[in-house]
Amino acid sequence: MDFLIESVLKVAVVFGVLLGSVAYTTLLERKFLGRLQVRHGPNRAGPFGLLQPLADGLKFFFKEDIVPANVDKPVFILAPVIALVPAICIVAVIPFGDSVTIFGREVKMHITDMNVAVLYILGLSGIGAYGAMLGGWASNNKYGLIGAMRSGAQTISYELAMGMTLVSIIMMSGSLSLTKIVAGQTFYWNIFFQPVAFVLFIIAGLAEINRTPFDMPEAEAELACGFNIEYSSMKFALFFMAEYAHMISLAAITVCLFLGGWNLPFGWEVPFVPKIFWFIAKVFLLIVFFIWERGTFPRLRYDQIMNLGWKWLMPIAIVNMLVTGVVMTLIG
Amino acid sequence: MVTTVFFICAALAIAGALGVVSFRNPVHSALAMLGTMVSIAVIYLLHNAEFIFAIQLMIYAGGVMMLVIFVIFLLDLRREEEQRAKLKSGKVIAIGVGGLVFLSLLIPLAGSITGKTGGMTEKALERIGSVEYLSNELFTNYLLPFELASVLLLVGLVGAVALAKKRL
Repeated sequence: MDFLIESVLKVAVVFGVLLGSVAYTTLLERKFLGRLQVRHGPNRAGPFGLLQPLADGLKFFFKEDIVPANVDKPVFILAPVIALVPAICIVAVIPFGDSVTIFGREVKMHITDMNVAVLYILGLSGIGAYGAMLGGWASNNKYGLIGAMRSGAQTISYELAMGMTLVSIIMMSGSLSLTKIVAGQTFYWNIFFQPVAFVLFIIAGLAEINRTPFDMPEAEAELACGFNIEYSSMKFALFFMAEYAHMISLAAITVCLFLGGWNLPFGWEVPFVPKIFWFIAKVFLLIVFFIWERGTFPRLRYDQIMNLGWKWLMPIAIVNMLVTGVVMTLIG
Repeated sequence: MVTTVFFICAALAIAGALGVVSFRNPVHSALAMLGTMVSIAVIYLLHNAEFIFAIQLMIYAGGVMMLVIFVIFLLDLRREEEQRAKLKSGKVIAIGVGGLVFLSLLIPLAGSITGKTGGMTEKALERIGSVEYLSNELFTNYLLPFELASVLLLVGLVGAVALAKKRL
């Protein structure tokens, strides 16, 4: 019973924090992108525009929910849900910090420690892509359909590269559990041994979550928002939330796999700073990086994206895996 | 608790399977199949077969169904609707064959509803760990079949490229 209460509480806290972070990541993105483009960004709602996410949320709620004629209604309604649910479920396996003692009870800082967490994440990110695919198809719109096709093709291509990249990390850690992978990085982070894998993972991850420069499924300039072109009100908001939830979970997963999770490098420790602080700081920095590169790189062309995925990322990932294996065998 | 989840998932899997054959729209059928696959994945998880669970999600639900839906998107669905009316006699044959397959699946269950229990029960898997057990078996006892299967997949891959590309 205690276990059940603890789990429910943890799920509630993580869910709340995630949705809150999603809301404020949108504000961070708009502010920071604004600065990158030499403008102010939202600054009217509250001090420094801090109430902007609330205003956006209210606006989404009160907007008219338009379902166009001739859409496939059940799929049209289901698609945003399919997009959001896997994005949230991924967070269940992410360890945020060491265990802490609250009310004389040891509480682990993750919802569940799954033995196959890495594969679970790969699986769910694949399922999340169905949201964009089905949404684009069900809208009965040619731009929507093109966006849907691109989304599906891109996800499949980059998931392979991502999986291959992860194999080298899994080989080094000897485990598929994120908690154990983090625990193996108390002294040396994985990025020190696997810089190539780190770069590959970030590129594949950005493509997987459809972020600029890989945002082919919604490419505003050519597809006028692609898969979500017919969506309005809360349904559109769900797609939007899914995108940002994916971004946050990608940052958190990268921190766990490569940047030592809640650990500082070389076994350094700072007194009086809880370890979860380092985790949050790293995730924040990565999200800033994701926004920064969005403001920096122009969108790639579709064939360039496919070439990059299949002809560069995949072979490099396989060679990286091979080299890791050989070096590990030689060192023993 | 586990039993309740099992029954919910089993009901969802069967409902999805019925949906696959009864929906008129191929995309709806594919979605129902996706539902079945995810429900079955959860059933694997309930039996501590975590690796199979993740692979089911990744390969079947994430990869195979994605490609199936991809192909359906490119079909002309209206022509499918028209053809449906012609297949009256096909329905009778399909029901007959389907019934036979269903009966043959029931035979192993004769006598007891749970079927046979092998050595790898949930408890044993929890102790050994499903990834460790599976990889040990694959790379020792079943190495040759494993390698043969991978060669077979490679042949399929090369064949698909050769067929798809007119000029190599």
